[in-house]
Amino acid sequence: MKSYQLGKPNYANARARAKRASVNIVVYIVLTVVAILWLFPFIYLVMQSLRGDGTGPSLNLWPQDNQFTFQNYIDLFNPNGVQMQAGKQTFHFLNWYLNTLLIALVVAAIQTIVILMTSYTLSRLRFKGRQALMKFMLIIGMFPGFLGMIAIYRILQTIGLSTSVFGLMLVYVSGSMMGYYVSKGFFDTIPHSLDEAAMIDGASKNKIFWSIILPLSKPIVINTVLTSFIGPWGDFMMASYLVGRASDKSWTVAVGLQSWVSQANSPYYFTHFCAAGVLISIPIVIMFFFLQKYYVEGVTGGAVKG
Amino acid sequence: MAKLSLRHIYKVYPNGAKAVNDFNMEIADKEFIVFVGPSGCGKSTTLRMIAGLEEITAGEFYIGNELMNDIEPKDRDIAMVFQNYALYPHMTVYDNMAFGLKLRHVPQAEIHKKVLWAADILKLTEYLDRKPRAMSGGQRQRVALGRAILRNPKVFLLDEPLSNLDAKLRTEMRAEIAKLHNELKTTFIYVTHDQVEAMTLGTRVVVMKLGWVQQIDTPQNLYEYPENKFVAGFIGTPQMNFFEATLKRNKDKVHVKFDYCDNELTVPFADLLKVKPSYLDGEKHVIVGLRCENISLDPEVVSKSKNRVKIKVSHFEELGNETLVYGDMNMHGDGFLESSTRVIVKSYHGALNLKQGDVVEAAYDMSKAHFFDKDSELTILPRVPTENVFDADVKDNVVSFLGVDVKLPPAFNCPNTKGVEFYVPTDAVVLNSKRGVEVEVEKVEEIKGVKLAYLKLKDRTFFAIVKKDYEPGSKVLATIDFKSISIKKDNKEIVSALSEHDNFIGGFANLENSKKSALASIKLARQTVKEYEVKVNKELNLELAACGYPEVMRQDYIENHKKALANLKNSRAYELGTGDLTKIGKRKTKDKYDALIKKEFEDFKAKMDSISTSSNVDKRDEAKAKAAQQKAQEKIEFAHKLLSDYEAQVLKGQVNNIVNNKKLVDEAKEELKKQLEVLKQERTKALEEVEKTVSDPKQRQEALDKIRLEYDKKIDAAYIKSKVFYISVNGSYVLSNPEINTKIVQALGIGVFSSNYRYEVPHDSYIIYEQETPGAFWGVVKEVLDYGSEKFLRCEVFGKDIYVQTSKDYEPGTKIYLEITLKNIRIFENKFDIRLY
Repeated sequence: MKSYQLGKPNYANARARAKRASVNIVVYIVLTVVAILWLFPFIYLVMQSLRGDGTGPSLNLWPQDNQFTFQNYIDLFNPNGVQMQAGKQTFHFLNWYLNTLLIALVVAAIQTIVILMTSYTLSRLRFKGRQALMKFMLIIGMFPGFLGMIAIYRILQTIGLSTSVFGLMLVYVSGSMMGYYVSKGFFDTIPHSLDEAAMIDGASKNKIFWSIILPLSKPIVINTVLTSFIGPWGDFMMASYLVGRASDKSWTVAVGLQSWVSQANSPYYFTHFCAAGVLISIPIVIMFFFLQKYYVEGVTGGAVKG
Repeated sequence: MAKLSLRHIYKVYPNGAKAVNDFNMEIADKEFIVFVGPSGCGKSTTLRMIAGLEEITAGEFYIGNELMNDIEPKDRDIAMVFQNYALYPHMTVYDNMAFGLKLRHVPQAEIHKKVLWAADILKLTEYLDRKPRAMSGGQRQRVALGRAILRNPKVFLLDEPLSNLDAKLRTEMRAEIAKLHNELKTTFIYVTHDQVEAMTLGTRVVVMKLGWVQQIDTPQNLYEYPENKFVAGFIGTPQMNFFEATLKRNKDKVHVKFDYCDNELTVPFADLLKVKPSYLDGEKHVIVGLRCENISLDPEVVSKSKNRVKIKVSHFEELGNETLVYGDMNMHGDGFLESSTRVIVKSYHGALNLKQGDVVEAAYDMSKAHFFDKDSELTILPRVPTENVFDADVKDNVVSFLGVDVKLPPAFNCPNTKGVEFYVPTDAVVLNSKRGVEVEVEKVEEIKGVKLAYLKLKDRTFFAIVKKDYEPGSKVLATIDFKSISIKKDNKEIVSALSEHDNFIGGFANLENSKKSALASIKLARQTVKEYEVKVNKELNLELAACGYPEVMRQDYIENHKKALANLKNSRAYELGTGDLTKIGKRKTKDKYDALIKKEFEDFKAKMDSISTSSNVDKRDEAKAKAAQQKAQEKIEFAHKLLSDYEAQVLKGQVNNIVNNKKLVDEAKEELKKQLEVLKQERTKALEEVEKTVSDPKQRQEALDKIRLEYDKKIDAAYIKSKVFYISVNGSYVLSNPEINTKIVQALGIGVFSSNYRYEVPHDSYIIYEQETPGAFWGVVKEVLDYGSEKFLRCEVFGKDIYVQTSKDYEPGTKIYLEITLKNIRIFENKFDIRLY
């Protein structure tokens, strides 16, 4: 008969448990440090934007005498502009904000449609030179955009759009089909038999794209919308040498904010700069907030044998 | 309602791979057709071509009487069910089914009615608002079926619809599909790789393999009369037993000797009457196929049977109600592997008390056996036999067989021989003529539209293909059409049959592109001559080597060696690259090829050594070598002369017949102009008429569209009719007809003028001129063949013999001019051998 010794600790198990716990502790420490490093700039930005004890840069995270104020934000939205030094330039932040929003929304809409249509074409239609075209676009896309800066400027100057918001939109939209790669990969995973079934049902290529393929491609549509929005929203380079040369009312946020942190302006505008920084992150946060559930949701369930 | 016809359908992919070859089929309305075959046999491709999802490379596909080749899938009035269902996942079941009707602008109320009807039939009513992902496989497939039946299509296509379901569901759905076919009464085309589905569902089954149709027939006929070994093995479980054997006829007995074992049978010739006679020679190896139910182990049956063989039992498979006994006719065989002596027998295990290793006697029912050629694997037991063979003697051009003397026509010059085999094709036996031999009709059987008469003469049954029915027992007179008979002695032909047609390689041209087409023909001819030259030189080298000049072979050896090495390396790379080898397998493959390459090197070295050792000045036969060289030189010169003649003739013909014939083209253009004007006027009138009479805007639009479409078609037809194309053969240009033009242009597109074609011309499709005539090529009469009722000229045209039917005698050596006509002509694309017309 077998006998059991009660109360005797199981050393092997205990050792394993201790080991697991120590590994976890190390992992969590590392994660915490990374999180702090990650979050610190945001916290700093928010705290500075609420500071009311001066307008220049400060290394203090906490304002002296607890002077928290929303005045910086209120100044930004003054329709007549912000003027911090008497007799100096007035800056129209509200115009910049609306300009940027307009550009980003229009570009996001057009670019999404162009990219998705290009990807669908490359994924589904077979035509001569398709492979060559795809490789060509991939290689062209590897060159940084500013290589063509001078050429683009000259071209826009010729057609009289070199300092206009529309010229800027044109630049952003014109190369958009080169971003076909990710969405083409997604379309390739949607079974062709769906297209074929719809074709037999009587749908045209156009109809198939809009009523069958797009509804199935929500994740990639959202992804394309977000990337197309964020690009022009934060772009500085193209904006600075096109609209940057016009009067400050047609600037974008990036161009304007850069001028606030220049050596001459930063002692007067630093807290406003921080407040503006918080403001430009808001639309993106909102978009992610509402769209992220589609971002991860797979919708092809049940289409074909799974 | 919907008749489908597929005529000479080919699918060739851009990389040259042929997926479907010469698919021919007429499908009647309401048929249930099943395409069956292993994967990669082209069955799905064919279905997709019918659906319009895949382009048809060559051939014609009709639904009803309308050509469908270039019609969009949605306008073909078909519905298709896919293997993976292809449901739209973001739509509910209701929307999935209604989608097609919505696109066709059917009123909402009607859509609703139809969806409910289909849902009712398929028992989907309670799932209508579900999405596909919330349904099981069987339910999803039912939705897919529902989506298809909703539109009342003319043709219903199903592409392996059940292969994603489990066994039980599959059986259920199979019954459901059969029921659906009964209720809907439309044409179904069903693709599957499962022979059970094919046999149970199909009214007719198409068995395919590697892009070729193997057999099209009813399930019963496929089982009972397979046309080749593949069909025989594919249909029926367990698989048919195949044995290798030789057959030797000795008077009225046939001796069957099985290979690789000691078993022999003697079968009455009456049982094997339909077997092609040339296989009963005791030398050709044939494959004997016997289904397991035609083999019996039952002692009672065995004791009564005359056809008994010994089998060593190897193992059993219990199926519950019956047992499969595996055995081997070879006493050293193990019966596990599929070999040419393995036997599977259906038996009642309990009653027999067999043990592993027992040697038992089995009875073979040889009257149910199938026979196939060992190499081609085609049946040599056709349902409609192609020829009869008689033992005969020939004396003074008279053939005596079965006590009958038949005088051969003067065209034959048969030497006096005894014991020959006299072959008479079944369609060469002519009944009911005024003269001939009296034979008795045993019966007339109709097989696939062909009437086969069993005739009896002196206790020997033979066959004839006849046009009308005869009363069994009636006596008729029979004669022979001598064109297709042949006489053999010891497997050598003494007298051979006349071929059915002559082959020409030629081009296709019009005024603008006639030069291009002529050059294409010349290019091919030059290439042919070049190849011929290489061949002659190779033969010369061999001859010279035999005459004591082995060094001439050096270049050949080096070339062959290089080729062999490249081949070996390629196949090694291929085998290693396929990726389904294990590490050990890879090493084995490498070792195998290393050994082969080493051997190739050694062989090469031995050959080269033999040159140096055997090239001995004393052994040389200079005179013989010179003569051989002279002969080869002459051959090549002759070929070159033929070539230059040919080139001249083609170029001359192009100028004479086409360039100078510009008037024809202008006339055609003029005619087209007139016709177009008339058509346009008619169309305007018709359109105005509709505008006036029809008031409802929607109906008016529809009527207008219909008229426009109709006239578009008429205008297209007029355009096609106005085109002047020529068929060119040997520099003779024959005006083609619109039907041929359409088919060729459809198949080859812009490549029509630079391609070469093979024209098969029947012997009676020639016009003979005695004077030089434009549009004709010349030939030299070699001899006149007199077949009694018909006469043929054997003519030489550019080094090739052709046979021309004639009513007049010509002296041998006369130059005549021939023009081909389009009567019964057949046209093939030369490179891929695609039948175009």
